[in-house]
Amino acid sequence: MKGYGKLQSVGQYDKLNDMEGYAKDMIDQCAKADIAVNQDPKQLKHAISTDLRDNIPPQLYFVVSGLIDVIQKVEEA
Amino acid sequence: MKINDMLLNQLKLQNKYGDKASESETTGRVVNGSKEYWSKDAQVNELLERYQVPKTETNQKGIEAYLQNNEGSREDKLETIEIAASNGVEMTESNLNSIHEAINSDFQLEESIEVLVVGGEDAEGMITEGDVKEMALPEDMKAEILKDIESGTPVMKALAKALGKAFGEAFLSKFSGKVDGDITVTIRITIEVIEIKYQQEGDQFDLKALMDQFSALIEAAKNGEGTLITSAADLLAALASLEDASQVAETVLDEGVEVPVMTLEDDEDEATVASDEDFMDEIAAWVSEALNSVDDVVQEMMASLNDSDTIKLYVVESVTVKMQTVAESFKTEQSAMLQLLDTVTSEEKSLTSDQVKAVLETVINKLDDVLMKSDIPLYTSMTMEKSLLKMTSDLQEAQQLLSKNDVAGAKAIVKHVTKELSEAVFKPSEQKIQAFALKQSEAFTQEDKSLQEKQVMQLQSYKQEGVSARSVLDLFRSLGLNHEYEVSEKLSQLKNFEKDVKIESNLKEVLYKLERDEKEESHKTVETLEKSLNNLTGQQLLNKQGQKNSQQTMFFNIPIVNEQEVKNMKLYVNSRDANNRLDWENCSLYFVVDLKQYGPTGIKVDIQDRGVSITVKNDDENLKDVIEPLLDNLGDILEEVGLKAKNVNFLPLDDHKKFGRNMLKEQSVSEETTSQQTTYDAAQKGFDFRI
Repeated sequence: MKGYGKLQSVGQYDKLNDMEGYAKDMIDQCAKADIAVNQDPKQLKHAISTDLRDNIPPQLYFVVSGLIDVIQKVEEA
Repeated sequence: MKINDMLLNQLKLQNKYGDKASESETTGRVVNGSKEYWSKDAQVNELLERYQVPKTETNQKGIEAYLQNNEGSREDKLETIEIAASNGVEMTESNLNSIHEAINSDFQLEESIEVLVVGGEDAEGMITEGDVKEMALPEDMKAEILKDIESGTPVMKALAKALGKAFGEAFLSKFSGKVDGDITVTIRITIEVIEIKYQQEGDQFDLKALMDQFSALIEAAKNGEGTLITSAADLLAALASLEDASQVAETVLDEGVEVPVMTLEDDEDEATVASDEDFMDEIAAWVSEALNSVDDVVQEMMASLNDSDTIKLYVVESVTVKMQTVAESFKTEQSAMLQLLDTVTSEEKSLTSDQVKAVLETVINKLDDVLMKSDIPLYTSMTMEKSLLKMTSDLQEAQQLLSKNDVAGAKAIVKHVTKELSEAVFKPSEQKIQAFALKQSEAFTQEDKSLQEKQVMQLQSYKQEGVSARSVLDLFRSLGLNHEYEVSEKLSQLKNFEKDVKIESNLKEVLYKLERDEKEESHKTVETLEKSLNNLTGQQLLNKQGQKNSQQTMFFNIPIVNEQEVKNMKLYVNSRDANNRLDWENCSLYFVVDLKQYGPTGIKVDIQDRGVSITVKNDDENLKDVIEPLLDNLGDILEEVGLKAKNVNFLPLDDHKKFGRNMLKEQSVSEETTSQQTTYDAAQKGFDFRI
């Protein structure tokens, strides 16, 4: 059975102002949990800065979906 | 506050490069008291100056290694450095290589899938005939399972049949909603418990006694004493925690409350969320109707369902419970939002304009969460998605009216939205019920699938049907573009007692696992893995938050799937940064795709004050006739969610790739969108009620 502690709270890293330290800790926690993530802290820290569910509003996804629909139809025409 | 936001805000406040330049400095020239590392390349130096990139040893070495080792043209490489600089990404060789790959190459979905299939042959998690032979199960049970497998029955189906025979056909369906995951997980867990018990008790092992314990556990769960079970260890712990399992079971059995056989009409025993029984019955009826009106597409599923009562009951029960849970969660959200809106429309309560804006912001965030994070859009019709989208657009308009002191106009909109929302009813779409049932039963229609194979099927089956915001988000998520964020979120929210982290499977994670486990693979496989992972990472680097003070750019490689092939479409986005969010009312999108019949094409979508102008750039005169009616129709669809279609223009193709790339650079952003910035009223910065 897997066992590991909770990833340290974001607030503690905030004091250190250290996103890369947070990323390094996350890599260790993921190794213990058998979750595969980017192993380069200089890349990981950017990957965890964006949540695609929040940073892009649903209306924009809708527009993108509309264009995909148009392109699919042109390709099939 | 949302996860990581505090850190992001810190990053924005300081140098956009985030990290302090604390390199071990050994050489370089001293400028203003600190050593600077200058590139030997004048053009690179000019870029570093222009974007104020710290001249650290790391950046200098990264750029030199990238310029030396990457096989791209010098022009492309300089452009990559400029885009990285503009987005505030460190100049490490791997960062530059990832961005280079993402913007200069197509994402090869088909090749990635091929690697998965090759690499997935001996994947873990698949129960084979050999595994069954090794299982510590009572001999007669094992013999029966193996006999079934030899006669061609898939392994999982043989296991399900054996459990049905041992515990009664309705047994597995009782676990629906209590054991996490799909039916194959339930079967694995149950088999594992039997193995452990059999090993502990040897000849004394009594299937009937175990069945009684399970029954007691289910009773306890029904009374709210149970919890979600995610592993055999949890199930054993739950069994052990029953004060006197056999005694409870005896009581249950003495009272004649035998484990009831589930039917479509008789599901109230297990309805875990039946706070409104009539409504839940209605959901059960919809599920029943949907599963009875299957067409050819799901005939395979029905054949499997009719073949075994165990499987049939489990599938029907799990679909019903799922739909009831989703319906209940919609009702909960709906009621919370209506309550909030009531504080705005109520005559008795008088809120200040700022308070009203704050309440509306909370409701908008809730609606957005329903659309982007909940299961609700996955099981309901696209009409409902559109209607919820329109509500969030309308509420944002109300906020803007308040900023212009048009209180009456804002109230009228809020009243209208309140009416629409109160009348909204979650009704599962028949097609989506069937798709969910098919997924639940698919383990029994063919051989058990490895994680890789499931991923392949998910991606191969991806073809957008109709226009849906959620389907695009879920495509990005299934590629793994949100993987690391969601892992960090799960790890941060982990409760002390939780031992396992459940991550939704996605292509990026599976590719990383393959890369880790398959070091011995052929050169071509390793190369494809690296290319694919670099491409996905490059997109993530370009989409990082905290790029600039006022602008946010994004970039995606979108696979367009049709019958014959998978095609790559590049999407460049730039927008004002509206509090760590793109501003959907004022932004630009640029799509670049090579069309089969019409050749290279760029489509620019400019949105200004919700007005949408589309410009198609292409050199084939025949494209206009085909695409114009489709874009006109798209205009109508966009109007349904609060946008306004303005015009469609056609221009010859220019240097369209360059045009897209320029959208990712800081300079062009200010040129392109200066006029947009002045028209936007930045209301309510700093509010975030999503906690």
